[in-house]
Amino acid sequence: MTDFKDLWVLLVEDDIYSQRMTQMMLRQYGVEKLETANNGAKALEMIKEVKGHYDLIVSDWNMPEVTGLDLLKEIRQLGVRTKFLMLTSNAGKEFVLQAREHRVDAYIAKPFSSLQLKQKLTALFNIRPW
Amino acid sequence: MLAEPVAATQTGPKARSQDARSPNTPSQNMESPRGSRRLFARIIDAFVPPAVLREGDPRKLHRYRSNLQLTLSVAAALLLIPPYLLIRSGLNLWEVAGFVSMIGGPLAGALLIRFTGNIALAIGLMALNGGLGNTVLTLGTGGLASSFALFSVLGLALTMLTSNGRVVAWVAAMAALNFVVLLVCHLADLVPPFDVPRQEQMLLYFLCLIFAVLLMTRSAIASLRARTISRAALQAARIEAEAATKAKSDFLAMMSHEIRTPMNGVLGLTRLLLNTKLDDEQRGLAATALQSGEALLAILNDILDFSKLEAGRIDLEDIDYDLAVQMQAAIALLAPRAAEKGLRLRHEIAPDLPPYLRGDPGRLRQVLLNLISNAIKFTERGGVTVSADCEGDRLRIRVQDTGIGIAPEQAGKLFARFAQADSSITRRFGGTGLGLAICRALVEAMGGEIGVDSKPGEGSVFWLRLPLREGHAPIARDSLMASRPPLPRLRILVAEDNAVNRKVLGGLLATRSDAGAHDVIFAETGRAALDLAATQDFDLILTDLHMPEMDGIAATRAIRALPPPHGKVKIIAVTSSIGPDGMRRCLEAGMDGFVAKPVHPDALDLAMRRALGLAETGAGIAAGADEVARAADHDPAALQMLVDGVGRKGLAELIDLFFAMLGDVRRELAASMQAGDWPRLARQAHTLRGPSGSLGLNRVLALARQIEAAGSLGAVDAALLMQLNDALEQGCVWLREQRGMLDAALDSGGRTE
Repeated sequence: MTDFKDLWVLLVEDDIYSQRMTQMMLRQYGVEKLETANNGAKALEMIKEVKGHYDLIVSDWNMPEVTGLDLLKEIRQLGVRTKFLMLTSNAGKEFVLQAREHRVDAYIAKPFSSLQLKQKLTALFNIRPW
Repeated sequence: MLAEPVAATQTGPKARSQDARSPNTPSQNMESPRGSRRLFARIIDAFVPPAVLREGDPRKLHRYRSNLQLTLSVAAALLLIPPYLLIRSGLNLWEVAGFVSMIGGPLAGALLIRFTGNIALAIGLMALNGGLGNTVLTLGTGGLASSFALFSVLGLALTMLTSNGRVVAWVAAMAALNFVVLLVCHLADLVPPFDVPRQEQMLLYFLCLIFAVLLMTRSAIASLRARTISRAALQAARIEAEAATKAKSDFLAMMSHEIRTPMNGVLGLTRLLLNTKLDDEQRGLAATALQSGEALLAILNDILDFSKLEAGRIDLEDIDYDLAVQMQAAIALLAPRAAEKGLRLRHEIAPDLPPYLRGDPGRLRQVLLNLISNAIKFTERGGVTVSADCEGDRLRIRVQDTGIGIAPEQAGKLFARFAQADSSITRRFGGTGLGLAICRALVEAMGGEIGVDSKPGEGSVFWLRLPLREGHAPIARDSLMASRPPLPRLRILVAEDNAVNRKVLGGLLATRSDAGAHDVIFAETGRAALDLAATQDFDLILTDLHMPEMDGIAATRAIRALPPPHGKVKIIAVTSSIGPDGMRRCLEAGMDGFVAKPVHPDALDLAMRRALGLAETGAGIAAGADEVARAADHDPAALQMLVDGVGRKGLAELIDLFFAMLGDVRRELAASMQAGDWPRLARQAHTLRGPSGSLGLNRVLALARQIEAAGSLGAVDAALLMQLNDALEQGCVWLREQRGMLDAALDSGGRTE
């Protein structure tokens, strides 16, 4: 039983194709409360606005100006504990560890399959995979 | 008849049970009956035999009251006749005799009922006297027309007074009799008909008309009001009931969600507790707590599932699937449990079934899992057979067991929620009793039906019939299977202390290789795993984290410390609590991946491929030139995965989006190349990564990565960009083909974009 319906999710992605694809995947899993920010700065604004009450932030790493890692650092400094799923093509170990340092909750190397994303969500929210 | 609901307030069981002696006390929310009615009812009760009143049997009382209502109201209505007779000039003997006879019948009947309690005799007497009197009276008044007018007034008056269908029938019968008598008289030339003066007839008709209109209007208003009230009450009750059901479902859904969160905390902590130093007694207690918690969580999940189904908040997928694959997936998961009980678990698919079906494979699998696991649960010896065939235009799936069976009277209740055939079953086998209710709701949502044929002691057959909808082969079916490189036959060490989990993993690994079963060695402790890993060669180690002697993390550290090649073996953690901290510890210890328990076959496959560096689209390691050479240019499996994730329409949209953005990207690439703006070139190449990776354009992806890497370091070789353009051209051709197939599939699936 998968149930992501009640999750309030913020997707941060500047690339229009990836943004659309990730939106579709999330919706396909039943995510209903999905918001999207086109860049890190906008995302930060949105997170502050809701006082960090998102259940999950799915963010690209590689974005101009405010990167996903900057966003992660910033919100963790603000004391926001929202689960953070980093999507990135930076798959090297040093990147992973760097994100871990700032308490990333999950990390998916791009390109990723829908199954991977679903597994991460399932694991993050402890939901049965069947 | 006309105002049946109002009559019901008078004699309905509710009023009677409230007060047998004064039954006409109006119930509060109903229309208050008129005073005359109350009086009439009191008169009626005066004729009910006192013994019956004392006894107070509602059915008997009702019978007496309704028959008395008939006789007395006929008598009352007949009192309308004397004024008419008086208006008429000249009272004659016929008329007086007829009237006395007519009214004497019902009155005598009422008295008969009162003193003998014999209803049949009373009605018989009334009919006889009425018939006789009617005949005499008609002959006396001497007119067919006036007689009919009289009867219509009588009928309406009676209907109004009593709202009793039998009274109307009585009047109609009398009128018919009257007609026959007059006809006979006329034919026999006994009495000259129509000898009543014309003006008098006109006056009579006029009066009758006014009377009839008044009565009918009143009656219509009353019945309309009664009907409106009852309809409004019904509507209100239905709205209330619906709201209550929805509120209940919402509440359940919310509560189970709220409960699950702390439950997961409790379970996680209990697992952690089990991982600490405990004596045997403490371990036993904690393990029991864990089991109970897990059972509770399973129940909560069922309730959540069911309340969602009940609230109609379930979306069924409509995609192509391979029934065989779904059946095998369900069976593979339950095979260990069957094996543990020594049961055969077989499946058969009729050859005439279409190879691909359309529907919601996940939900179908959920139903199958439920039915099969039930069958295993209730079977002690023998086996379980799952079979699928066509039955006309329906897909029939049967799950047959040789278990304890179900008594026929219990079978119907099985699919009701919270029902188990016998409450002792709950004690013996556990479960919420929601499983089959969920199955039924799912099957019905899919437009099918579910049922059971069973004999106690001989086993059961649970069957389901679904609309058989032939599906299409998934995109590029032939290349799909081939394109995911087969997993070679591997030598795998499974470190797991729990016997059941060992069987599960063993079972999954037995079905996971395309080149035959993997070579699987088991170790029950971390220490044993380390010893084996140090002395033998393995391709892969799957390890539990919590094991006696040495846990999975410690074992991994120790293995990594071994000299090569033993220290280089790939290690995947199989773990139930896969929180970020746990993952960090695993990675730091040197593990190569994770699989969450309960182990999903696909997740295991993916984790194995990833750990072993076999192609799966998420490999995500920076590409080198050799990758460009090695990878197939186009990967249909990636498209299939994307379809799984976003649906066909979604895929079509994404391909279109890619085509739409491609022009700009290529112009930008060329422009930045010409300008020697390497960072910009790298950025543009980067934008190709997402689409090329997810759409299976491997060559484009590899080249884009190379260009991006080169661009961020310095100059990019123009040849590389030409290769990329080349790869894009070919990629587009391939994608267009796929897009065309998608369109065809979407069209034939009855869907348009």
